[in-house]
Amino acid sequence: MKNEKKAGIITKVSGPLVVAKNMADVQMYDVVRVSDKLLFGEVIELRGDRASIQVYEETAGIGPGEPVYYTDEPLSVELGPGLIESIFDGIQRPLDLIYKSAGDRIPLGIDVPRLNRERKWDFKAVAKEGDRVVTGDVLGEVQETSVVLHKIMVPQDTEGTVTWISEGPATITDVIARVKGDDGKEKEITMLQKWPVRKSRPYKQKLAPREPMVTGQRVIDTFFPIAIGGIAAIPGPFGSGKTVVQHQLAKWADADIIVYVGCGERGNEMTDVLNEFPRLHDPKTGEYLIKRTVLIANTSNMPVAAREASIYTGITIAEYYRDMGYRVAIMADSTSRWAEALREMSGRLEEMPGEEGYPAYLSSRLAEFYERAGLVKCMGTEERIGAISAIGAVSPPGGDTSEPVSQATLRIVKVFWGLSAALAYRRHFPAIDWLRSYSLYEDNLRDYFDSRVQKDWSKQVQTAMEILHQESQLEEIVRLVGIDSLEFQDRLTMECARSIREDFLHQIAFDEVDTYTSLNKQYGILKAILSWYRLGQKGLKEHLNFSDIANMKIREKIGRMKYIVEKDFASEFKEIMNEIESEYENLLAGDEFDA
Amino acid sequence: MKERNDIAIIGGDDAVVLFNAVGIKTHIVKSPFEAEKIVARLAQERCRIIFLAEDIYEAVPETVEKYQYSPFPIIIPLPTKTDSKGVGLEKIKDNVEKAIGINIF
Repeated sequence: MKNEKKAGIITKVSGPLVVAKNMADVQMYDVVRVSDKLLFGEVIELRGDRASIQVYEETAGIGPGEPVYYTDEPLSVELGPGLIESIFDGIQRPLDLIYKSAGDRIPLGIDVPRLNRERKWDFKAVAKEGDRVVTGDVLGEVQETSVVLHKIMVPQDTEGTVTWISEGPATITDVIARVKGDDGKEKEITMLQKWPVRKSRPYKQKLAPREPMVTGQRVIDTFFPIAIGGIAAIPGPFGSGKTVVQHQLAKWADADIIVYVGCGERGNEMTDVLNEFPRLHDPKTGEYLIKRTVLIANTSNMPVAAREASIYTGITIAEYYRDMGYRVAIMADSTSRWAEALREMSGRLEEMPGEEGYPAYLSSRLAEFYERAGLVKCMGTEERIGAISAIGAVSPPGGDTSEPVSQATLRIVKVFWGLSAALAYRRHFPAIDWLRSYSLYEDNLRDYFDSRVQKDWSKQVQTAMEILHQESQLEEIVRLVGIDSLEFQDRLTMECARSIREDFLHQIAFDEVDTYTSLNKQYGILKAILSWYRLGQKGLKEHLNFSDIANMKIREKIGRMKYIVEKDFASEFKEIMNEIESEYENLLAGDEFDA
Repeated sequence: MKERNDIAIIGGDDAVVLFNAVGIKTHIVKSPFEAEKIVARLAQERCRIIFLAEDIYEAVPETVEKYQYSPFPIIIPLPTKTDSKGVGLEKIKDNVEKAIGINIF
């Protein structure tokens, strides 16, 4: 990979930043190999013949005078079959293969092929000899895992007639097709493609998101839905469950491919993913979740510069699968650590610091990342629609979202799931604060919910939200003068809000049934709570007592509705609705008292 | 227009029967639950003052509380012929204490 002839000389080493002279020929964002240990580095600044290089590996033991070798290639990822089920570091080195060849520690400058070169894939041709193809057209297919059909597409800047196409087993470096361009030159196409990570992959047209990405998490789907192709942020102080929410989304979100970027967080969180995903079943396909997952791990103890790259590596892989027409969800946990890596590099580059020492380009870099998400028409003659939904965790210090990373993120994202330490302390999980969170997709998605799920979905959601807001106002009164000063109607509202919180919003990620709730079940639970509330209001206007309404036996059943398995839900829901009615009628008639 | 009773009395028959003589509408009830029902109905009919026999008054605290902060109906406990338990006085004491801050009784 290294070019022996062209080499610079190190003049300064400052942690992950190396400055080298004699580098006039190098290009911005080119990969270089630093010193004779051949550490991976990327050129991030050029001044005259001096290049600043961020090194993705530990630079201890490197000093001025040592060489820097050119590779004349930008930092790229390798795209092709074999991505799924792999675990990569920030610059797409396969950690499992490194472990096999080198053990627990990553040796400096190790060269491992990023994708398995030996494995044979069963290539099935889709295009025929003589077909005219353009960039993005599908040449053939490979069954990558039992759930992912990997489409081999015509690479960028290639157009022409297929002169030859292979069939049957092939490795990713074998030529599988030849395309003759209009200029008469024949191009050999392999399953392996390279793409520079900092450049977004092209698409035909960006579309407005119109369908929700169902996550099975009640508070998210009902109150703050995210669209397929949408972008969301989860800011929250530590201990509030950001990572669990991310994991839940990675497990249950309605997406074909999941790219999980563990960026600067603790190693054990990645271990959780590695331990759980191979064992968990996807509710839609019934297959293991790992069969549709790409993991990128750059934990807090790994070199800081690679953390900066890990986000780009992740989104480029996501874009590649999007181009095949898949719905991809990318989780980044957490973008704050990524911003800290930017800050560290920026500080070492002696750039003028912006707010809190973050570089001035923090918000444009964040925007660059999130803007690569979206619902798009893919390249190619055939009409294909793919999507990337991006969900980034933000860890603001002290949970105060007025800091720069949160603020810059909030300017871009359309869904905000604000986690609250107070809720987490009360053991209310997921600790998404319903008073602070919002989703700007609500308007776009309302039609979908009302026409596809239930007619009165959005009306019901609105009512429930109003009750929750009323609760917070009433709570202030209660705190001042006590619950006795409230009218019974208001007390009923508070009781209902409590029910919404405990019976609906609260969801246990580790319970087998509760971990995923379908839209119809979500609707049903909320419907039951609100029906009880409406009858209660009516009853108070009649002669019923508040305590009788609050102590209705059916409420216990409503509280346990979330534990009803999906397949029994429709019948049990009907039963519960009938019971609410009949218990209410009995109360009115006074059966309880005569007995 | 429907005839409106501004004053009503609810209680056991021996407690209220006398009020029939002075022309006040009386409601004879056997259980507190019945009384609750009647109070709710009277309130909807915009009855102004409801006397509740003391024993009933004590048995329906929630109903009493329900109308506590609305101007009408005013619910007043009525000592029965057996003995006064001082429920009314207790209530007055509470209200005065709430209003002026000290117990003057």
